[in-house]
Amino acid sequence: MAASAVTWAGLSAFGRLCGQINYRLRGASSHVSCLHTNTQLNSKHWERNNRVVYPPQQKDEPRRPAEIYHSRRQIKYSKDKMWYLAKLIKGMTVDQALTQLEFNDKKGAKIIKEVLLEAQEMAVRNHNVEYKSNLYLAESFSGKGKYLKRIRYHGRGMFGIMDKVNCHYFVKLVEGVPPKVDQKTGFDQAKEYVEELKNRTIIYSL
Amino acid sequence: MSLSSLLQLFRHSLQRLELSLAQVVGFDRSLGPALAVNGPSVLPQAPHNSDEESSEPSFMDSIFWMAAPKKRRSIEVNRCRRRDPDKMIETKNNIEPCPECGNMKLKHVLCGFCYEKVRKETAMIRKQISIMEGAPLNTPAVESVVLYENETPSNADKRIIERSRKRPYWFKV
Repeated sequence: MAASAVTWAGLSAFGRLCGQINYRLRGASSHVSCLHTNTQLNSKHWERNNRVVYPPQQKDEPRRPAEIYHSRRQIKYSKDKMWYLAKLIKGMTVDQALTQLEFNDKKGAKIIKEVLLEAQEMAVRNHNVEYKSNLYLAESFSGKGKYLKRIRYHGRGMFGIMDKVNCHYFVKLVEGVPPKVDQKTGFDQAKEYVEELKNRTIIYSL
Repeated sequence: MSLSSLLQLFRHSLQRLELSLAQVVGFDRSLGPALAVNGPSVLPQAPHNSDEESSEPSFMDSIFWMAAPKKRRSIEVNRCRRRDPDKMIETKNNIEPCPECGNMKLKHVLCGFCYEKVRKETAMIRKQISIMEGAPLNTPAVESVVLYENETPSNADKRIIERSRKRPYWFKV
């Protein structure tokens, strides 16, 4: 009969498929034992930091601040130029960083602003952050993406290989007030260096 | 191996590479009178010695007088140049909130949000004007006044541009 077209082999295959899906889902959220627990094809290292689950805190421990990792890959911009913007906003509160980027004329500023807004929204939606302004940029940096190579024609039959550059941008938002960093002047750093040189001794000496 | 022969070799290899690339793409220069032999389709280049020697001295002379870096710049030296305070972006301290809408604006510049809202309304008014005039260069030689819903014109001979919405709060009479 047409109704009983589902064969025994088909059923068993379906059961195995269900089991595999179940195993995959459970395996993806487990973070207990080995290094290579479950690496899916499209999850990169920075985003995987978002899946870390800590054990519940004791009553006397200070509250662990929420950390949100976000990135954007293969941005059509140079990593060196992006680094200047990343260095500008590192350590600022999210609102301050957004205002600085809004009035910056560089191409990367608009892109970083989008990334920050996305991360802020993610924080409030998924990471249990209460106030979206109570976030600061703990880490912000750029990395090299995959380059395309092209030929640049010079005179006299010479050619050069031109790189079409791409970059990644990474950001880590942490809940709370940004920590105060003491701005060390160049003079202080030089003084420290001289002190280090003076404190050297000869080992295994009398 | 002298420098000139090295350069010649490099030039020949480049030309051969270009030819082979061209063959791959499909530019077959040797389509006309071809050899009836089954062999490599890239014909060997006849050495154009007479041509090259006349142009070589000028090329050779120029490279001897060009500036070239003596040593590779280390990453520390590169970082000192790329990260010195002149090249870093400074934080702007002339940003303040706009008293009208609350978005941030630069002190000496109009607020972008407020400007955008005025621009949009102006575009609608201009569209209305273009509908009223029909063709270009039909502007009457009188003053214009924009009237919104439920507004009566005062007794002055002005051209009336009507907009079918209530008056925006920022467009004072």
